Amino acid sequence: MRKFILILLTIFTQACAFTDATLPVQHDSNANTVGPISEVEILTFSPPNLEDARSDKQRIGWKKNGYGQHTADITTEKTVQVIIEDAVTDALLDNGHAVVEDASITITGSIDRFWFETDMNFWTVEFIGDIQCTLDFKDASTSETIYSSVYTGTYKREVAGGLEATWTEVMAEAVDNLIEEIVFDDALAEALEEYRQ
Amino acid sequence: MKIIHVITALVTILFSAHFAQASEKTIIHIDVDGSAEFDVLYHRATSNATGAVIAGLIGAGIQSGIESNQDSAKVDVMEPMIDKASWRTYFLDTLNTRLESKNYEAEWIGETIEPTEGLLLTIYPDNYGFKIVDTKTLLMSAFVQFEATLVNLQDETSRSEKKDFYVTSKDRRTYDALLSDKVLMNADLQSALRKAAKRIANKIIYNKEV
Repeated sequence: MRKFILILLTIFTQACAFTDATLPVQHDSNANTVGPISEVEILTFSPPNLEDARSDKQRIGWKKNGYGQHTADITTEKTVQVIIEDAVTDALLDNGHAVVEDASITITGSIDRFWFETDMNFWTVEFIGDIQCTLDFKDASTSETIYSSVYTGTYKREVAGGLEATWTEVMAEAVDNLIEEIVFDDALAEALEEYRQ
Repeated sequence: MKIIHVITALVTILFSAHFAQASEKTIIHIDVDGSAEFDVLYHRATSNATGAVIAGLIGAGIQSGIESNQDSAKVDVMEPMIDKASWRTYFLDTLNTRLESKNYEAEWIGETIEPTEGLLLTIYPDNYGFKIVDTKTLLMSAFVQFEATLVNLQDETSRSEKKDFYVTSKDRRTYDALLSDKVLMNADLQSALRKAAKRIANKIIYNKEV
C-alpha cells in the first residue's frame, strides 16, 4: 500500500512539472502608492496603450526539472499589457489625476520584460519577478513627447519552496514595485508640472 | 520713529514665520545596523540544481559549493574595480538629501544616542553588487539589497516589522561589458544605490511607511 501511495505521489509530482501554470497576476489595487506626481495639479491621461515587446511572448517563465530542462510554460490569466495598463491607470487615479478617453496626455510605450526566474540555493529557492517597460507621455494635441522613461519592477522572495500561489505573489509584488518607480519618478513629476504650466 | 516700528514688526513676523517653518520639520533618526557586502551572483543565478538530482543533498551541497567558489572568483575580479565609498556616499547621501528636501530633519544615530521622539528609520544593509537578471541572455544588473524598519517613537502601537528591499539598476549588461569599463560598472552601481535610497525616502515622505 505504501509503495502504491509513493508511486502515485511520484506520478502526481512529475505530472505537475509537465503541466502549464497560469497565474492570476494583478497589482494590489488597495496599495494606493502616492508620490511626487500627486503634487502636480490634476491632469487628464488617456488609458495606457502598451505594446508587448517581450523577446518571448508565449510565457512569463519556465517550469524546470532538476536538470534545468524546461518542462512547461508559466503564463498569466490576463495579458501582460492588461496587467500593466490597469496598474498604471490605478496609480494615476491614486495620485489624484483623471484617466479618460478624451485626455490631454496619452500614454504609449512597451512592455519589454515580464519574467519569472528561480535561483536554486542549497536549502532554499529564490523566486524573482522582473518587469521592465517603457512609457511615453505625449501631448495628445501635438503628439510631442512630454516625458519618456524606462521603468523596472523587481521583487525577490527566498523560501524553502513554493508553488503557483507564491509565484503569483512574487509577480504581483514586482508589478507593485514597477508602479512605485513610476509614481516616485521626480523627473516625471517635473515634466508634467512644466507641461501643465 | 514710525519706520523703526514697522521694521521691527516686519522682522518679528519674518522671524516667527521662519521659526514656525523650522519647527514643522519632522525629525527622523537614521540608524545603519551593519555594513553592506559586495557580491556577484552569476553561477548561483544560473544554477540548475543538477547535483541535487544526481546525488541528493550531498550533490546539492557540492554543486552549491562549486558555484559559490566560481562567484567568489568573480567578486575578486570586480571588487577592486568598484568605488568602496559608493554605499555610504550614494545611498546614504541620497537618502539624507531627499528627506531634507521634503522638510525632514535627518539625524544620524551614534552609539551613545538613544532617540525618544520623532521617527526612527533603521537600515539593515545586506549585499550589493551585480547579478544575472536574465538567464537566457546572461545580462547582469547592479543590485542593492537591504531591510528597513520605520517606527514612530511617540506611538507605542507603531510597527517595527522589517521590510525587504531589492532594487536593480535599469541598465543590463554582460559580465564582459562591465569588466571592460570600470566607469560604467561604478555608474550602474551608483544608479542602483541612488534608486534604492530614493525609493525608501519617497515611501516615508509620501506614504509614511517603508
